[in-house]
Amino acid sequence: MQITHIESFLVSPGKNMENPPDVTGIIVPLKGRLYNMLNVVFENSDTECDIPIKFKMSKDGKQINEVRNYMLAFADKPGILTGKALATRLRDYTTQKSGLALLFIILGKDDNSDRKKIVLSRFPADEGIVADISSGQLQIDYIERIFMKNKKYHKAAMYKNYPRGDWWQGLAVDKQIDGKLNELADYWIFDFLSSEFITTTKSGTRRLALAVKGATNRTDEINSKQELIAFSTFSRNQAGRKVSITKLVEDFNPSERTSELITSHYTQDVNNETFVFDAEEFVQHVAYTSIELDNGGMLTAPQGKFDECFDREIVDDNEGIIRFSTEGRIVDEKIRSRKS
Amino acid sequence: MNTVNLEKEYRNRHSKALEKMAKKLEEYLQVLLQGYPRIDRITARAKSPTRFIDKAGKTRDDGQPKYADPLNQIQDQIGVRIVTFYKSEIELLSNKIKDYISPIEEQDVFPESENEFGYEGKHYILFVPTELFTPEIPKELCPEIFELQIKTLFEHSWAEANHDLAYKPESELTFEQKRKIAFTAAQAWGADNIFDDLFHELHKN
Repeated sequence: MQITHIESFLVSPGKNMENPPDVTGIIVPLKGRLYNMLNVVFENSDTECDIPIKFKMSKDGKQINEVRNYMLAFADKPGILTGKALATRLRDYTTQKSGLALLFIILGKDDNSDRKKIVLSRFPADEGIVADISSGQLQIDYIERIFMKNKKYHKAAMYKNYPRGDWWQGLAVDKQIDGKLNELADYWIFDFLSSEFITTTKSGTRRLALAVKGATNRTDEINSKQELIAFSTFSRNQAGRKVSITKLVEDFNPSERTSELITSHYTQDVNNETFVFDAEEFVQHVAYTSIELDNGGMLTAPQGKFDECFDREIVDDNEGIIRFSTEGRIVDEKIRSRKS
Repeated sequence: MNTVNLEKEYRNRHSKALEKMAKKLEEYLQVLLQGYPRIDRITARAKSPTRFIDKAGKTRDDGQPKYADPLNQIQDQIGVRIVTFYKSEIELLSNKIKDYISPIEEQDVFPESENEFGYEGKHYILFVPTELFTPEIPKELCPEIFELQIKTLFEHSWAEANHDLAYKPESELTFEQKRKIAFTAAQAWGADNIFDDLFHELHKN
């Protein structure tokens, strides 16, 4: 797919301002070093943008979204007028803290079909020092307003009208999005793009829980079972955080076998989807409840049966010391046979 | 695309993708809504090729085709129905579904004026959950969205009979026949409201 049109807009912060600065833009020539760099951004967007998002419906439940309309208008008639609508909206949601940026809007088309792709990429302003050697002497100077595709703050979005052509969903990248929800990181997807994650909080969490449950049912290996219980405990501590199954597994770093058990439940695409973790939803589906004590001991019982299996007795309320007790016959022959 | 090619294309996606995805969606929703005792049925269907071609051929008031790109624009190629016992269950089920599946449209369908009686229900256009796109369903042949209707048993029965009786292409209904249809709609509305009142009275405690 070839780039057919590129625009760039200088976008100043304008959120909550009565008279925000005007947005100015230019059409970028389709040749030269800047074009070559943006061509890489355009091509890499297929892999770099990895958060599936969808436009929000209107407040009265209709299939109307202002940003989608801007995007459709730009795809239909690319130009400063249609691009400026998007850039102006970005200005209106940009705070002083987010700062000045260059917004690039890149449109590509297939020669032999109606396939189109739009990439939005925000390059934040930075400051730096330029060094040069002239006449054998090192010259250094301070410069501001350098616009960089900053690894830490890079924000982009990519929309295509194929393989299915309704432009309702796209993919985004927001390097500030790891971790807890916050206004600074969220304005790109939720405010400027007027979008939300395709995977809802409950749906993503349910999938994760089903992946863990499925993994537990598919293995008899005691090491994997223990790791899965520990992984469940680790996951439960992610309440309110933006996660994906892939990221959680990477962060927890279990054995290769246990990773495979968890990630093989769904496809890679599903595992990579970002969602906000919901601890309450998770415990409705996971197979086990586990408590870890500061003496290294771990108590585990099927979900919802923990208090039936273990009696609790407060030993020292102030120190939070609790004695757990249980009795029964050993039924797991695999553990006994391995020990013998 | 002419009608012959459109039908060929649709038949291909109907057998390779739509029927399979409809089955998966039905199963997905049945599992998701387990534990809700007052659901009469959850059914999903792929729109038949004949009905798709009929819909694709519709025109606007100015005579222009309603759908320039029917394969991408017709959103009920996969349709799901949830039929409940009582009216107030509709909201309950709607909230549960929205928690798990993203909508791009949510509409309460009801008659335009307080003097009219007709179909009532809750309609959604929702994204197909990503995990249902398994390798045996070609992504390029399956829409990413589907239509969901949630309605009561009475509304469902009324809509089915109304569709059978009132949409006869050969003749327009008479005034008296229209009044009879409206009367049955009013009866269905009344029965729904009385059942819902009784449900709340009897399950209050």
